[in-house]
Amino acid sequence: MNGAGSPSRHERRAIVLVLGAGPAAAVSTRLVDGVVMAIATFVVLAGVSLLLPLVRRGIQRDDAVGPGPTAPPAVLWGALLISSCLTALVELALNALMPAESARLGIYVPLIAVSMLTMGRVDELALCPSPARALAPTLGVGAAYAALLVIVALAREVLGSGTITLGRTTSLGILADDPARAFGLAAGALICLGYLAAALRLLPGSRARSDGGER
Amino acid sequence: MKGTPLFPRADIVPPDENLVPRGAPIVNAAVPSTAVIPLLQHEGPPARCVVRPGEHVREGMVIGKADGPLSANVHSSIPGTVREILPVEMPGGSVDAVVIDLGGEFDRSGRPRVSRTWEALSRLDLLSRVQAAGIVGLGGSLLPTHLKLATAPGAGVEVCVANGVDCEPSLSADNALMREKGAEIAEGLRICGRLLGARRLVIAVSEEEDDLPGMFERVFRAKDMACDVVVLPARYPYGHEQLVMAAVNGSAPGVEPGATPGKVLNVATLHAIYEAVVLDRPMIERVLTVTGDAVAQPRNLKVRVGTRVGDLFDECGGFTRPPARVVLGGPMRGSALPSLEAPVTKGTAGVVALSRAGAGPCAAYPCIRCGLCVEACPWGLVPVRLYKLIRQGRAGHAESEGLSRCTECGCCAFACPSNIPLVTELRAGKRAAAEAKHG
Amino acid sequence: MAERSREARLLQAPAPHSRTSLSTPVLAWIVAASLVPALAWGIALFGLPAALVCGTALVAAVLAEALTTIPFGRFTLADGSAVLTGLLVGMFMPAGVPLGIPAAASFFGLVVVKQTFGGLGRNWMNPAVGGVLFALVSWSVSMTHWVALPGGLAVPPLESLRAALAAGTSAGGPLSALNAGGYVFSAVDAAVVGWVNAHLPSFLGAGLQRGTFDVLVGIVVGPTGAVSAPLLAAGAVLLASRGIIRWEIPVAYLGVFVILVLLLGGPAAGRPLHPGGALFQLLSGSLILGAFYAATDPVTSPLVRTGRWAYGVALGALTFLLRSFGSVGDGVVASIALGNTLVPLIDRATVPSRPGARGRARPELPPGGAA
Repeated sequence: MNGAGSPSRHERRAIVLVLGAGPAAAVSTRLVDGVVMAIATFVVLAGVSLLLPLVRRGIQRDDAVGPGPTAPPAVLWGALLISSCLTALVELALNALMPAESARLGIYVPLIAVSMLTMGRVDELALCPSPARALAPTLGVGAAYAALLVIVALAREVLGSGTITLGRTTSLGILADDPARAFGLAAGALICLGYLAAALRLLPGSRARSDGGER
Repeated sequence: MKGTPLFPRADIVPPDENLVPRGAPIVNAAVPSTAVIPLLQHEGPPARCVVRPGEHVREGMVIGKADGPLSANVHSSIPGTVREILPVEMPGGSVDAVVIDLGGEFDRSGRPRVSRTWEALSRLDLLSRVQAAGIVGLGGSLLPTHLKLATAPGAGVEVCVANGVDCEPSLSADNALMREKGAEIAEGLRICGRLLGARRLVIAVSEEEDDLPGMFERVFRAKDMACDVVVLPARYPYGHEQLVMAAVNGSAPGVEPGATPGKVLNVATLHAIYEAVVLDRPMIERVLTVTGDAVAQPRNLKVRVGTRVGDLFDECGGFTRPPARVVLGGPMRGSALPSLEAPVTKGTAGVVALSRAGAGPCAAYPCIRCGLCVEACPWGLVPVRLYKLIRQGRAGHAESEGLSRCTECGCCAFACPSNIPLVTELRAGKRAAAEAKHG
Repeated sequence: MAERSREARLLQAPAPHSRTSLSTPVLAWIVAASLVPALAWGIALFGLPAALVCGTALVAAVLAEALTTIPFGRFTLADGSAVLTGLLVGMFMPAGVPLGIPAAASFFGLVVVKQTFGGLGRNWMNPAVGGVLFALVSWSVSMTHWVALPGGLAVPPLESLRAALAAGTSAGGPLSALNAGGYVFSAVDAAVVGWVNAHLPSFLGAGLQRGTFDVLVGIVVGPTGAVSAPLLAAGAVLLASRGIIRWEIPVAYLGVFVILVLLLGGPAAGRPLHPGGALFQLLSGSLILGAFYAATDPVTSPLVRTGRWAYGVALGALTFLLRSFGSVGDGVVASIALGNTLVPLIDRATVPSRPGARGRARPELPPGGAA
């Protein structure tokens, strides 16, 4: 939990465990969707990590701190409330600024609140004493998740549609005529995520572990 | 009269490689000019050497005394002078051996045989004769035989079985011995039946040897002996004690041999018991098979213990092509020899020279999950699963899935298309499980 | 001492010293060889396009295997599995697909499905099935680029039947439906059926329908390697008799499929398949090729016999469902891919964890017992 050292570990965990893979698989078929989703998630994450430590004192009773590294229920509820509010704000903003994009992303923007929980950030944020110490790892996670969405979206759009959509749609010649549509399906997202997870294991310092290998 | 039990598994039929022709006579091998007699030819501690270099020994004289109850006496197989006592390389490791140069007169060979009656002897007398002769289980166990026979009568040994199914494919020494020494083997079986107090005597022979059941029935009639003949399929590993016992009982294999009310003795052991008890001859020679595709004339030889393995091949016309590996024992369970200098021991049922390199020591390909090992295992184990558990360091778990029932018969490794050394790994797994239990 | 130098070359290896002649590469090469007659039949029917598609799939498979192993210091082409995958990919394809598709399918199968998971023995889906499924999902339109037989239509009978049934044809069986729908069968078929009908004793009934000979022998439009059911089945029977492929899987697979077609193929189930058409369904699409050669891949099928029965049953049911209601090709490739994912579960349920406890290895004694 000591701030500066942990981001890299968290980033990897978010990807290796394929946390938040639902929205990633669902929305990352066009580059622009990936980018918008990444920004939205990043904003919500940053907001929660700033706000939650501020209000924590108010809602947490000292005697309620459990023995293990888990936050008391009151704080978890608070975190969920804050992230839901922020998500609603982001959704409204998106609706106002980019109505077409908002319609495409549909339910997946509100789902950010759920992704927050599944990414395991809420639990850790709730234990952080100050906004400053919460922000560093959270920004790391947010950046990693954003990068993941953008990479997966780019790969899937190029292979699965033969185009690159960011502002305007660029067609990629022969790939656009007959693209490998399998990459546009959820299975394509899982394949991309799998290779990303494998690539992260190759990074120096990652805890690549061998599990005996044979089933 | 006899049923041939068919286990759904145990289906290894190794390729016939230059076998000894059926019914070929046993050939007496030449007496070696130098005998190298290891002091460890049995399970348990080595015998204690009781001769010094330069000492003259007679044929059949004790040169190594049993050191403890699990050890067995070792005798000189030739008359002569002890040259030296030095370690020799045997498959299990380095073993001290007495080197004897031939010289002097033969006390027994070539002299008329004096047979003694044994019916009047007491149980203890009989047992001590077996013990003094240094007889060990020749079916592969190599445990001193008097221990097996020492069960008190009334301890519930129901049946005493003479196992005439050769312990390995392509070996036929036991079959040859039965053909030539049927009466002696029957007598040996009678001695053992008496020692064990067995109510029923059975002899198990292989399906392929279709003349043996009739021959034995004539022998039993002549001796006025009540003994059944059970015919087993000519497949490996039917010669295994547990499968023989299961066939005799009509029960499932895999029950510990101690749990079934019966004892199984190899026919070569029974012949040795007969010679020890009736002829007062210690275990100094044995019948073994020399075979393999590199051998010119495969034969069953009667060989003195301590004869150099290389000499046996000379006895069989030498090699037709250079041998890639020479195996002491049979092709499924035997040990590859480092050199042809190794001596024959009591337990050597065969010597196989193979021209092809055959299976290497390591896996040639990954496991393709074909399941052939599962079908090959006579005990119904799942070798591939045990192998993977052991490779994952979970030998204890493998134990709970039946690892301890593995007899290392080699069927799974024989059948594996990827040449995975299953037997070696499973053996290592048993060791690891035992270490985990004791430490 | 000259002898010593000779002995120094004696191999030191653990027992057993003798072993089966069926090594892993031998198995793969034998299976690959047994596919060749059916492949040759398909190429003879469809000509150069079929040869090009199959050649591309094969070359792509070999290249993909080489590129993923040789840079890592391994050489695995000799084990034959990549060649087998390439052959199968080409054989599952229509003859008229753009050549990029077999190449991509082989590449996907070898790189993503096989080598990513650790190569031979570690893949949990058959590489050929994975590659073809990838192609079917990605290029569903191009994967219907069939090559017509001389004078015929460029549509496989199965697709034609589907269209006829959708249009409301309700003749007595699949062949009559096809004939009513105007499907064109070959001249050879006309001659053979005509001759048989002319010489068949009249008491045997109405006689053969047009198309019987074509469907039986494989003079129809279909995946290049899958049209000749007799050649595939003959090769498979040879392999199964030597224990190279396991007969339990195709027997359960095809058996359950036929039973389901007979029981549920009628109007009651919304007429997904034509009633009375079990033989036609059996010989259509890539069912025979899939059941005998893709489903029996040992790496992606269960370890023990009971598991193989269960696996075959699951495949038969899945193929029936996917062929009736699915949209991915004729349902065979998709159902084998799905079945592959079930294999670990089947193994968990069927591989005995305490062998012998249920008396599995009980000897079968003749009545009266031993002796």
